[in-house]
Amino acid sequence: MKTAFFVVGPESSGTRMLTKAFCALGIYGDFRHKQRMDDLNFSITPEKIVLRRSLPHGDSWPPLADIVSEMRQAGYLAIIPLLIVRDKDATVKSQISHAHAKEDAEAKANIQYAIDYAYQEFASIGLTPLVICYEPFVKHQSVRKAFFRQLGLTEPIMNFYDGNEKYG
Amino acid sequence: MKNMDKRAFFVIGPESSGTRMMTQAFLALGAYGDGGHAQRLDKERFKNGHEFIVFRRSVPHGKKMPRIANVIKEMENEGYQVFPVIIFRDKDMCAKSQIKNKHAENNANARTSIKKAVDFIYLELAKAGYAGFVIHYEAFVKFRKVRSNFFSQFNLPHPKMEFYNANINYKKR
Repeated sequence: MKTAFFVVGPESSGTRMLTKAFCALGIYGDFRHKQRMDDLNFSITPEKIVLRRSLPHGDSWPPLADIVSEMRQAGYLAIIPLLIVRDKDATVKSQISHAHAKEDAEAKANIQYAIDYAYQEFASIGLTPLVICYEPFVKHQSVRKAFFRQLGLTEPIMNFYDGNEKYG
Repeated sequence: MKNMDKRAFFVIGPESSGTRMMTQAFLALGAYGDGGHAQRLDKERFKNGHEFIVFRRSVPHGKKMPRIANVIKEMENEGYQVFPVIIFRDKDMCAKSQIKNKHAENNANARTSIKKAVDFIYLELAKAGYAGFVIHYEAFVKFRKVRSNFFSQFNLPHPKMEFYNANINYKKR
């Protein structure tokens, strides 16, 4: 069955790292900002794909429900929305260091809005995201194994590291 | 012979994350269990054959870290299909609620406790071979559609129960 993994999360929450893990499993997609499927044309893409959208993505809030509709129209019957969340304090620091937010209050508001937004967008089309927390995922192989096993996948061969360490 | 229609919902989360509210939602759907700290299943365990149960453990529970993996195995051994339900709440709100309810002395302690709890929950679930069904408190209490979808993944209807956003108490201060 054609399967689409749709990775979302607040900015600086680890969406690239999680997408990279799916790419390491041979799933078609890109973990950097520019992605070959940014045009949302899924008509000639392979059996399994991974698409990433941080929330917001660039300057706009991606229409997650519409993107899922495009995937469905292209024959992706299994769509797995994946929401990655990271410790709030570390996400705030990372958002400021990457100029996604100017100050703590702005970053905190962004994070809460992003999580609400993800749930609401997916709920509007009858989906509930699978949630993974950044810290246990990068720190513990057993957590990654359980996560990928529930998706019918094996653990990818890839180096994982805890990006929070630099924030103390 | 084991009846695999037996379902156990195991509600887990950091202290003050909304585990009682989530447990009450399952009770409102007819599950056997209790929403308060003392639960009949604490003593009875899972041998009485109820088809639909809900059991709650905050992390820590009292002063102990609950042995989540062992509880899951115990449920499985009694023939239950186990659904670990994990609830997380905004860290600032969760910390404020922990301080108010005397789970933590100050903000720094509360934040450390929350971080440890998240790590502990995932590790214990992985030990039992589960990833769990995670839901965020805020989206759950604020949006009916989010709740409906959450329960429908277990083939359950939306519970007849009032939901409110307790974070409002802390934002006004």
